[in-house]
Amino acid sequence: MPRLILSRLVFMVLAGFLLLSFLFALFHMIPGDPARLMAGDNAPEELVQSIRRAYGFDQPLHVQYLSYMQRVLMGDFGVSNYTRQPVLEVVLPRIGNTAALAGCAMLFAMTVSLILGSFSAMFWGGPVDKGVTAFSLVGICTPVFVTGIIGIYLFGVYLRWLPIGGMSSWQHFILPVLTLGAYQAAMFTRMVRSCMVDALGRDFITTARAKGAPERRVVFHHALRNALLPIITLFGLGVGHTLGGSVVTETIFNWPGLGRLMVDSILTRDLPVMQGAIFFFAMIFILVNLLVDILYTWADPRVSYD
Amino acid sequence: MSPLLEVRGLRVNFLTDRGIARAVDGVSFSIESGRTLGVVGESGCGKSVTSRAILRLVDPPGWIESGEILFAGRERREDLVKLPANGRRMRAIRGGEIAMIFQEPMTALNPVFTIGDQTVEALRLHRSMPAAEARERAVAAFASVGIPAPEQRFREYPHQLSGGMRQRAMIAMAMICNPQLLIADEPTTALDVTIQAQVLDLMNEMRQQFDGSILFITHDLGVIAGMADDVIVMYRGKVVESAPVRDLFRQPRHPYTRGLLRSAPSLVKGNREKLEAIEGTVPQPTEHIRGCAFAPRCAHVMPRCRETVPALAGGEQHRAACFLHHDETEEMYDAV
Repeated sequence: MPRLILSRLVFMVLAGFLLLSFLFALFHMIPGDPARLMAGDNAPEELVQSIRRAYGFDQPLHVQYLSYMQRVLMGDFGVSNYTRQPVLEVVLPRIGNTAALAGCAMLFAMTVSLILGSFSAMFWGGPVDKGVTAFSLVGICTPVFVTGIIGIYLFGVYLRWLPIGGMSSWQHFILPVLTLGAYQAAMFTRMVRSCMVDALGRDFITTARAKGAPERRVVFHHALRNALLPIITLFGLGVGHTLGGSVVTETIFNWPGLGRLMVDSILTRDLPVMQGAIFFFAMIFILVNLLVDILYTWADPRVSYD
Repeated sequence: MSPLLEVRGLRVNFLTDRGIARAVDGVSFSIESGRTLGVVGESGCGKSVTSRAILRLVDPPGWIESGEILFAGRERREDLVKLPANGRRMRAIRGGEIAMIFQEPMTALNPVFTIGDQTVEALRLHRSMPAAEARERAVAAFASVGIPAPEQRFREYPHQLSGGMRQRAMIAMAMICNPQLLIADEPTTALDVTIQAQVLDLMNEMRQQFDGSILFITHDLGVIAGMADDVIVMYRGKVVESAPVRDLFRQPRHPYTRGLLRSAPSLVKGNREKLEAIEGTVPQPTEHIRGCAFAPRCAHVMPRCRETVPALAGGEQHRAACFLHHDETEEMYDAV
């Protein structure tokens, strides 16, 4: 286990390095002069020149690359082109907000899908199963922005039960979490159902029944514990989707998270912030995958990394 | 005294793409207390389905069409077919009064729980006792089935055990509640030959100590000869011959039984005759056959064999379903 964690951390550093190099190359390939961008369209040429010198944009590319990497190593991701705040100061609080939203949405989706998927498999082919399948199909086919807007209209505008933007109280969490979670819940439910149907068809299920175990123990103890292996992988991948979905959800609900920060920085061409946001998104994703691998060893005694 | 288990006219059907398959087609037999009944037959003859039906573990698309399964339980004699399949009484019988061991100990054990936990579960589902006591009982059960270092094995997962050890653990698990009837569904088929012998020895040993009965299912006549007191031979969902084990091997009556015996290799010195195979293959279970189901493969077939079904008759102890031995016919069953 320590070896797994260590090797993953090494991998994370490597991946981070490659990602930053790629972003650096990308931002230098896209058209537009960064110095002109910072100075503004109507700024005099002298100002642009001085910015170019100050930021080293006039240096050869490899010199710029090396100095950029050096600064990143020291924890300096540059300053925002607009607010002039250091990128880390802008990005770090946003990570917490996105983690809260995505975490709650994942929790909601996992709970709902484990319950619905298990019951669906338990009553395989029956009305419960068909109902759950219909629900999940609708959920999968409805994009997040549609669910979000319907939610805002219904609960925010028409019924006036819930706030529709910001994150100042727990009520503010409900709509975004449900919007982001519902899609994942629908997706997961289908997968949990098929994993459970598979697990329930295995021989040890007959053994458990032959021992006299009641059906709920057979399903939620014997089958679910086995179905967890593929389900954990699925949930791990789901975190990626949830983070991706959070970009849209945060935009709809005006949520001060990493996703919206990324969208805003793209719209304003705030390259340093964009770089920081993408970098931290990627790191979160790698960390989640590490967590998934660690969970494996807990879920399946046959898996060992050492 | 009434037998421990009496099965009467059991029919189990399965719905398949090609129609209804009569997996078990009017099977009757009984097991006396303390005796071992062997069930022999080729794969697909309905022997496993019969054993699952006794525990009411026939899952859709299968169902018990008709028949009685009379079990003289600890309290009273009752018809298991009439009990709700997942009701409290049936669950108390499963594992508590009738236990089962399976063919594949690898897949029949849950891979994510230790064998200790799985054995303790079998015990605590039926007896309320503190965890520590259950644990002690499980370790003792492991020791009694010849698992070395039972304390340590208790904490191990099925994949850490060899095939033989897994089957021993399976037997310990089944015997832990001291059931009245043990159903062993091909318990040695998936094991290596040497391990098979060990497990059979163990089962024989258990048989001596154990005052309950055993229903031993196998396709291996050699195993039956060493294990069973009485034997029933099944073919295509029907019992074609039923006899005490000695009589069956000395004087097999049904042509199918004779064929089975001739197709088993013998180790007797000088016996180098060619093994005989039974001609043809078992017909599809969905295929409807008029008359005796074995008629298409039978060397002694008579015209009446293709018209009516011979009943299982011909004596008190040794009975065969064949017109070579008697003239009794089975009532036609056409409910499906």
